[in-house]
Amino acid sequence: MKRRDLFPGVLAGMGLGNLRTDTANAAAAASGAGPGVSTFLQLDPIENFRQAMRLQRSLEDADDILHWYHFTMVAVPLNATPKAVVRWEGIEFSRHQKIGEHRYRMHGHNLSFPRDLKTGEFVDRVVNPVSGKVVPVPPMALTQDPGLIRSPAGVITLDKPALAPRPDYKVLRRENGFVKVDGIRVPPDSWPVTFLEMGTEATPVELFNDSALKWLPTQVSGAYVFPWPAWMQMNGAPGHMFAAWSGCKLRSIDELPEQFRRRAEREYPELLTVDRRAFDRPIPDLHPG
Amino acid sequence: MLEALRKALSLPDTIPDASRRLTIAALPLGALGIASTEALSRGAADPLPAAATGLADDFIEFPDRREKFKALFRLERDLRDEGTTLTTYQFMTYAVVYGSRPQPIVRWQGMEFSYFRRIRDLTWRIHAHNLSYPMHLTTGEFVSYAVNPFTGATLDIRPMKLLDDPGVLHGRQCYLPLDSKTTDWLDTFHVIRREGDLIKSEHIRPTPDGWPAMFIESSCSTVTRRDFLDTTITALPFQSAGFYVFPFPSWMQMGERPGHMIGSWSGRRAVNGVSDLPLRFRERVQRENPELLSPRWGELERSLSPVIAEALES
Repeated sequence: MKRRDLFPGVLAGMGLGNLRTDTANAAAAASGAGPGVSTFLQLDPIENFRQAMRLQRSLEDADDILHWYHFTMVAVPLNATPKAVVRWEGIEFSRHQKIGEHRYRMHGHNLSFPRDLKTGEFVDRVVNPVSGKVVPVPPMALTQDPGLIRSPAGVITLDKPALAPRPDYKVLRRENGFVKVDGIRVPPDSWPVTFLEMGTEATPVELFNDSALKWLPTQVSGAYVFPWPAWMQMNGAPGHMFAAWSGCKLRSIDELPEQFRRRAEREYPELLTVDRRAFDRPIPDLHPG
Repeated sequence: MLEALRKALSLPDTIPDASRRLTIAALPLGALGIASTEALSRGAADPLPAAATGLADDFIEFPDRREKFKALFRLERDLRDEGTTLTTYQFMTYAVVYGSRPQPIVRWQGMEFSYFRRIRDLTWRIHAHNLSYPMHLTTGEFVSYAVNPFTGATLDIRPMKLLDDPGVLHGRQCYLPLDSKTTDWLDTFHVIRREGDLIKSEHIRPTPDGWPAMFIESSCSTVTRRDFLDTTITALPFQSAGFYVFPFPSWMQMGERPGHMIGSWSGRRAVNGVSDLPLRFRERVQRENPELLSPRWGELERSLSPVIAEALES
């Protein structure tokens, strides 16, 4: 089976498509429809790692993983009402390579374009709702992530490769027709302290149960907390930003929405390609954990 | 495409009342004057055709606020004159302390039970309650304590029962909390977009007067394209994910530390009602608060304040 053939499976996981109003509810009750399923998968640490890797990325020894999403940014000033600022459409394009048993090296980048909160049109300026100023918003190309090593022991971020792995939060659970992984990202040690990223990825149970599938289609949602970006011109005011996203894992750039792809090809063509040369750089003093 | 969408999504303003509930699903297709997926399969113009290349990615436009509101209410509640919506979810709460790395605190499993009645034109009165039980972050076992990673204190965490929501009017003018002191309706950011064969409704809700200043709630509800276009469905089965920012609760014992909490949830509509709740959760509610497994219709019998009555007239 080709990986892209799996996409209809995400719909199957919705699992409720034909249920309607009370007539259907009554029918379901009459047929003895049971309670909803909500269980935590009891896996040993290695299997937990493998299945999280399979959901979030793939179990191939070397692969490129493309996530596409929309997200909305909210300003959270201290002791004031949070306010929505701008929405974005973007990708995270990452690659991994197996470097040992259950041990992978990963690198990646992100590219996002700002869109109007209400119309969804691409924009290049917005009103900062905290200051009232119109501020220019440039596209966001994040290419400075140092990379990381992930294993059942945790995560080593490659800005501090000699440090021991930090525990990685990945909890797998079943919710009716879906298997979900709740994850909290371990940020590079050198990143600002006001940073948190958490998310959930979900795939249909029937695909998850097919162990022959090393790559699974997922729906993704998540959020992150981060310091004021320079374009917000907050001049040291206390507070931070918050953003929430929703999207999916795509197999390749051929599946990117056309408008986004055209713009990315025009303005950042290099970010639509996979540069695996990062894997050729040695990692001196890498912690063995 | 917009014209086809308008046709397909133009739900009637007059929606059969509750006494005709059982007949709605039995009506012949098209009896409500609406296109349906079955109609599309018979050759009607597809309002949401596949993209020529790549994943379909559109913002869906509506002819006016009424149509957009109906699409939202069908996604989040139910377009019948009287109904209930039960949502089941898990969520994690995080503490964000300025100058420190944010930390996860505790996981929860919960439900939101809302009950609503159409009181005028396209305006519904909604009341709701929430109940959530704390769970261990990684094992998922029910717990009654957690460690505050910032203070080291062991926290006593009780089930979270939200029973004092004043209720709200929701209509094409947007939201008006029933304890509002003004007739000003609160607007929201709301976008419905298509993502391949899924429809996503992204909604950022306002902070009502009197709520903690640091509060905002956003959600993304996902339904299938097939369900979305089948207008015989008055309450769409959705998957939902969302986030909210709120002040430190007292049980966190944060003193004067500047910061706030974040909650992130993932859940779904319990399409079959209470019987569709996860078993272990439902059994605990039955044991401890069985009254919360039923809608509290009495809330809707309380009279509306003069301010709210005036807002309804305007």
